[in-house]
Amino acid sequence: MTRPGDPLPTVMVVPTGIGCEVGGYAGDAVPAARLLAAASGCLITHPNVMNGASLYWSDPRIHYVEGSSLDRFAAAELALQPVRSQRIGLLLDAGIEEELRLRHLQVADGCRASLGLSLGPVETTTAPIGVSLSQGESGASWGQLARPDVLLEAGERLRDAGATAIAVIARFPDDPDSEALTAYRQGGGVDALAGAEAVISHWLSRQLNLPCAHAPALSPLEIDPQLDPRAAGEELGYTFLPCVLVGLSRAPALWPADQAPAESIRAEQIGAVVAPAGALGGAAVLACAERGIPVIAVENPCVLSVTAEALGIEVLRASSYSEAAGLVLALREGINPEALQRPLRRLV
Amino acid sequence: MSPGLSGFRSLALTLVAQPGPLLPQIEAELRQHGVPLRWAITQAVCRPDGQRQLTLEAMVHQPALLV
Repeated sequence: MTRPGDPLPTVMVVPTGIGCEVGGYAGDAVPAARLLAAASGCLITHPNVMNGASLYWSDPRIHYVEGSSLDRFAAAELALQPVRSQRIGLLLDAGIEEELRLRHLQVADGCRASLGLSLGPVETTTAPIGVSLSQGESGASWGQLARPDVLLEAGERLRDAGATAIAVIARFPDDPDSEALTAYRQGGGVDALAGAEAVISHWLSRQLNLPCAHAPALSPLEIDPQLDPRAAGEELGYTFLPCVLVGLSRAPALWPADQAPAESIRAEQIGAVVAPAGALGGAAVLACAERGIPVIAVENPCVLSVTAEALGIEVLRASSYSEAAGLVLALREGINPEALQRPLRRLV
Repeated sequence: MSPGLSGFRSLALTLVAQPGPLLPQIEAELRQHGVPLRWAITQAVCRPDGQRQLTLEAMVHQPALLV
């Protein structure tokens, strides 16, 4: 039985690589996620929301689920089993130079020593993964992999050696003088890396059914005095790895919905989904909307304009994540959100 | 968008949606090109005849192409 005030499992989506004002940078949706976690008591969200390179936040109410697994959870194909900890295997791209590889291994050791995470084994691909970046007509970032086969083989070796989650570190192309990178660091445009990152983690997670997340390996950048605070998390260290390791360390285990243990979180329990008002055309939001789960559309400008009107779906509108949290709390307490709006129309 | 030799293929598609849930229509359209790996509706417009025209960007996996 569910009572008013019980946790209301809520899905938060901020699609990757579309330049959202909140969540389009380095973990700059974490404050919104923390607020929604407090309002709901149970927030299911994805690495793009939680990853701030060297910055991270761990909250037992927040469940870190890779994007394609989140889609499958919303579609009732997967259930999520909370766990005390995961054993995170490190998957390193053979294309990473020795010094940069060592930096990543030292970050992993730091997370073992200072945070008590369970890490290892470590596997390296048998050939460079060959990441390339691209942009769609819409302006969203995308990417390609030259050798997804070597990525998958290394992931399988980690799984077979006992890893229950996988952190992938792939060498991404350096382009320090590009206009897109300058714009991103100064708070404009899209994250050019994000689309390829999503392809990597979607591929592995779908094939292995393990929690996966990705950190790009890049050469350090020159200091930028115009750096936007939202991008600053990526300028604090030599790697983007700490947030990935912390997120995966308590990521829920993925189960086929019909085989999941009783304590698992299931799609049938989802009480709301929160997404940018102009980016409602993704699998998780549509799966929820088409099952009648309330969709909270938050004003959060991005390069897309795929709105509720354009898709013909009903939503609750929020002008900010603060307002969205109020709506989630109302749903959790059994208060009809309509009663909070004016004018209030007559029933008949 | 570019075809790849890796087994992954980038797509940009247009779909005129029929009445009813969108998700099964989108998934069926994408499956004609491979196993959907990542996709999004990047534009949705209501045509004069009342039908919704969706633009999709997607990455699909075509196993036969995997090296």
